[in-house]
Amino acid sequence: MLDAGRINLRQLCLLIFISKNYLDLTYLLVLTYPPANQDVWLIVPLHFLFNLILMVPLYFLWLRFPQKTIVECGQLIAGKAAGLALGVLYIWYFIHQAALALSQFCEFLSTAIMPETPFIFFAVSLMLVSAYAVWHGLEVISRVAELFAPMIIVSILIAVLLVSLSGNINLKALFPMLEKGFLPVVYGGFLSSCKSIELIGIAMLLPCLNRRKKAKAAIVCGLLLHSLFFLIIALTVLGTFGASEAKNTVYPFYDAIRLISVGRFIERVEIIYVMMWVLSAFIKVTLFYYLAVFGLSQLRLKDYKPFVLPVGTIIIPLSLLVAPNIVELLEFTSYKIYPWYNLLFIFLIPAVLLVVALIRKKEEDTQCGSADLSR
Amino acid sequence: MTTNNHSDPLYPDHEWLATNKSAVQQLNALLEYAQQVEVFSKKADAAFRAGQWLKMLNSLKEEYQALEQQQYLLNPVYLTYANGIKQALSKEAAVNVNGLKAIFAQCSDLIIREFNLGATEQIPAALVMIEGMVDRGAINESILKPLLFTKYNGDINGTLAFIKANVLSVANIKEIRTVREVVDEVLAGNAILIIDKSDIALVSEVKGWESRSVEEPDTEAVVRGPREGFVETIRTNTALLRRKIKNPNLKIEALKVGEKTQTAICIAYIKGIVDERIVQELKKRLDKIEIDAVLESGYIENLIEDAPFSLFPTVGNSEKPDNVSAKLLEGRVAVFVDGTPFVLMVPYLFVEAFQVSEDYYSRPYYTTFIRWLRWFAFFTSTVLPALYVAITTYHQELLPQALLTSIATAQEGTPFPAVVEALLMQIIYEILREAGVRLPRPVGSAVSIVGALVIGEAAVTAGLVGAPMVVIVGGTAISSFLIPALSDVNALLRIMLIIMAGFSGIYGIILGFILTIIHQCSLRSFGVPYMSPLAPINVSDLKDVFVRFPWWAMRTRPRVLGGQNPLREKAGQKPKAQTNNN
Amino acid sequence: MWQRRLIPVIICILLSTMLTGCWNRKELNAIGIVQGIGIDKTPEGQIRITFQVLKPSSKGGGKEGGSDKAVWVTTSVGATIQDTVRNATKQSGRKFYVGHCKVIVIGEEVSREGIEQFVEIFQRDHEFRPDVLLFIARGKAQDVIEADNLQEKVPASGIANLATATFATSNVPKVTLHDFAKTLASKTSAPFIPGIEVVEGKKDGKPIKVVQIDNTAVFKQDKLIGWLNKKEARGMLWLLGKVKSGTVVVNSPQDETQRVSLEIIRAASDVDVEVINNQIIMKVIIKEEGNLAEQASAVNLFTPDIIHELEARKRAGIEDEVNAALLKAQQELDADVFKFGEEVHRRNPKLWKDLKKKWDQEFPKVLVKLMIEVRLNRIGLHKRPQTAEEEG
Repeated sequence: MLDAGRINLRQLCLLIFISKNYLDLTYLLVLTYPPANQDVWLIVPLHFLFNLILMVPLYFLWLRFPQKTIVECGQLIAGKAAGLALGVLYIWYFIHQAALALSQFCEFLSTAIMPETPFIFFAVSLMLVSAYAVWHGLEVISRVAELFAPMIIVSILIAVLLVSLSGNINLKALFPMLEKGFLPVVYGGFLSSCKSIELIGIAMLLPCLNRRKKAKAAIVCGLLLHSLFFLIIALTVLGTFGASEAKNTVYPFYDAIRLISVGRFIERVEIIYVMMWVLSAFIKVTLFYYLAVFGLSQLRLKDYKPFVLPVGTIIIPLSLLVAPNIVELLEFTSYKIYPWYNLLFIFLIPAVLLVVALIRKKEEDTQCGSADLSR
Repeated sequence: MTTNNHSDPLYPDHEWLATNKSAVQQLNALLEYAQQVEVFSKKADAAFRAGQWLKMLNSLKEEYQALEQQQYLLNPVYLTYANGIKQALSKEAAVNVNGLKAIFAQCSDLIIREFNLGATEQIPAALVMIEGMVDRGAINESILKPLLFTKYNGDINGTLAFIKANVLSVANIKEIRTVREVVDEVLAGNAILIIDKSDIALVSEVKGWESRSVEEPDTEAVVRGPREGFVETIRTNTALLRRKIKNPNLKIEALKVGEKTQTAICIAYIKGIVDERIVQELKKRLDKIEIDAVLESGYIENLIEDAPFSLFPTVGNSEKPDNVSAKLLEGRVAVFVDGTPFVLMVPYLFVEAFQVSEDYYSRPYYTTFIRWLRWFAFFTSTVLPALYVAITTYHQELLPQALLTSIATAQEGTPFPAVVEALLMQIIYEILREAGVRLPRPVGSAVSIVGALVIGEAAVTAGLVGAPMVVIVGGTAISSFLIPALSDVNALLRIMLIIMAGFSGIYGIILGFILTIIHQCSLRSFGVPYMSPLAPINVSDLKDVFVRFPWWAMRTRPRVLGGQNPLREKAGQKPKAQTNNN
Repeated sequence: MWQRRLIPVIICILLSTMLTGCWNRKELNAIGIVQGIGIDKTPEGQIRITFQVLKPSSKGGGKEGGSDKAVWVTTSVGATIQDTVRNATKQSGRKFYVGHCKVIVIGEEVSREGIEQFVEIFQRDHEFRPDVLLFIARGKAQDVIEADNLQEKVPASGIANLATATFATSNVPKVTLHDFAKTLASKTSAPFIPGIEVVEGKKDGKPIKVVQIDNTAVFKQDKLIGWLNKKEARGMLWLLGKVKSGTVVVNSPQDETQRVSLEIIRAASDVDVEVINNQIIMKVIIKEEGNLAEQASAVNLFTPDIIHELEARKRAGIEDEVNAALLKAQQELDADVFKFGEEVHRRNPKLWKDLKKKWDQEFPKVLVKLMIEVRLNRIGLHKRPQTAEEEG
């Protein structure tokens, strides 16, 4: 394996958290998922459980090939040509996800904050900053994530505290519970967990861990942390708007923060929100951008740095293409298409690979692995 | 004239022509000289024959004198020194003295006191020193007087030993054998005794130049804590440090840097605490330096820092022995440079800018509060003007109603856009600050008062700038005084952020912030990540970042520095109230 | 390494993209800060908007000087709100900025035709704040926006302050854009907005027009259908648990000709749903705590018995208000201002499935069972009137 830089458990955990938290901060797409009423917050624990289940094939694949990312595993298990195809497929997937995240980021800014500023401006400027971080490598990205995570966490907590101090949260809005029964909630939990593209990100980063022993704990912690904030945000939004009004808002949490008014003194504090939103967006885009570049470098054993700018120049126009406007963006990321698209990459392909590996009794050559380590 | 000058009285015995290189150099010099003599004699001869010698007399005389003066070029002591050959001294005092004279030609501050030892024997000797760098009284009383009034026997080796043992009343005497050493010692401010028939010179340490006394430094003023600061003399500085840490494990290794200046520098560290790899790395970097002059530790800093293109300093400095001692005890390495009171310290981390030596002397609660204030002040002083620009030109909806009304009223009728106004004020502020620093003290304060009056009051009254902008710039300036270590970074970042805010509002500020953070996270100082213990987080080191734990709770040295002996104190140091049972 | 040289290049590119920025820039002295908006319709059916725009004096930053209004008022006509706002720029030379708009006043006539389209743009536009206060003008909104204020130099701030003061009496509800939209989104509940009207006032001896907040407009969906008076509005707020302060005036128990003021300190309500024989019964528990604020009679009220009597009268007073509100809302307006529908949904989702469609028919039939718990805790700093006779 290439020397991609090492990250520690805490950094992995925080990267998962920030990246997953990104969407909930703004779009909170879960509001439109079945059951699409006041019960959507019940999805959260199920979301967490389904995430763990979806992680299973990736995790066991990693246990079998502790030094290999999924891009490399493909070549080992499925053979050269098929493996190469798989690798390319995954790199496309990472690029696509980075473009989606970028597009979501730009849509928000050019809708809510600076409507007259062109979309492309946000895309290019954020991509350049991301490229700068990707160029510095995984270690720097994860350190930046480590610095940003406390800021994001504290911002969310302050925001939620202020919203509740403004007296806008009415938890009566959460009732009646389970109006449509339990099944839609389970279905919603499953669909929403299929959104967890970070799982594949974890799988790509696991070989870079400096201590392999507690990887499981780091994954669970990251997912748990995300679920906690997911729950907090969902409850805040539902409590503030009620299910029916919340569904009408494009940016529910942002709108909740706009309502903050504590003692007619602390108001107009959206800046907190804009800060955590840009920081999270940066981390998410950078993470997937890095994974794409990193994956590319693994197809042919080379330094990843020559790929930084080319991949970046692909992502920018792609972010314009994936969503010509916000309605199409929301349509694509809604529960109808997006989860199934993700499911293919985060669950089906790894599961098939794992089964094939088990059947063909492929395992990583431990000697080769240790030799790589010493390099 | 022949090229074989072995019989020349200037060159009695040439044992020291041991190395071929030296011999070749010598021969070349002789040849060149001989050729010049030959040319001259032919000229003179021709002049005689032509019968024009009367006309030529003056010019010939001048040429002859020049040739005579150039004879010192043939002095073996000079030759070896000039050609950079490490060579022993001559046994003949006259050769040595002439050589030194040649080396120090046109150096009016060199004193060579030639005298004879003893009343009867008459051994020629010379004392060499540089005026002003030696202690006159010590020379007269402890060296010359005993030398001249003592009786010696004839044995040369015996004499030297005798002088060293019985005559010179100086604390530090050493013997040196090479020309280079003699020159260095003379330049270092010592007196050199050269005795005929001995190729050993005696160095008496009688340094005594004028220097500043130890006083309270201007840069790191404290309310509570030691007042002493380093001075320009390296030995005084190392002594100040040694006085704080009375332990043989405090190692102070000496080096010389600077082709021309021969500046003494010392690396100080505490063996057993420091991470040896850092010392090795530092030595490696210092050894690589080849520069003609080192006049201040800033030269060294520039030449050894990790990120030469970064705004952020990766080498720290201090002017106070207590501060340096504390850093050494945490596992850092200090670099003393002769001629400056500023001592360098590596590795230097970002959080150190927010730690002040007084933090550790005061009680922890207020210190913690002040630490928070410093972080806040750093943040405000970098971001506030940019934020003001962004909010008033892009995001008015973020202003509370009352504030909006008063800012709008103040901005009404001002000619510049907010961003230009901010930049203008910022630059005027920097000019004022620089003027205040550079001007002589009394004028400096006058300038700052006039500047403040003119810029602040007049500009607002004239409607050139809005009053809120003046408030913002003033507040920013005061905030930046809280973190003097980063004030230069601060000013540059501030201007960068104002520009970014002027072009894309808060989004620009956040992008600038992210860029800065990425950059900071990518830095390392001597292998230690610059942003640690914040990124990567080191939980146990956080006890001295945003808060300052009481001493009984700060049991370990900073772990990020990778020291070998992390434990600083025994467990159970927390004071317990004694209940008096009697 | 060639990559190392890329960093400055990247930064240069970044800065140059920044240079092309400035799209959203609006200097403070180039915008007109709108403080209040009034919406009416012209006879031709177009929208007429009256803007109250801040007029920052060029000198003397915020100093109190002169009695001039710090605002100017302009009107503009257009087909839609957006169109109208754009048209307004023709007259002002400054771009209107509505991020600090405090009050939106909608004319009564327009309100009867439906106000959803206005609420819609106020929510969609990123500049409008969701906490802007809504009012329905009794008459034309333009008059309200043009009216003067006795204390404030910015009349819109005056309206906002007046509103805050009036809300404290609990005689009118406080309704922000967010509140209105939230209620509107629930389909069955009826939104309400406080009313505002222009009255004559006096300043420096000259008669001027000032505003006063009175009555509460009730909507069916987004159409104005009627008004609640002070008493009915308070009754509605009791049921909603929104009464926070105010006074209840009752007759003195010892001397029926005199009045006693009882101050409300805190109050809450709890609604439960019961269905008996297809009859929906809303069980409402109102809890109130208060103090005695003033009394006019010359008798001593401070015996436990009389305190109990006062409590009973207070209970009766509250009940009276609630009943008045119920009568008006159920029988006259058929508008679920009490959000009973949402409560039924919450407590009995199965029943709600059937009721949802025909709630308009069901709502007037709903029975309300009131349980009012009142307490009179403190009597202020003084025990009895000076003239009261000392007892035993």
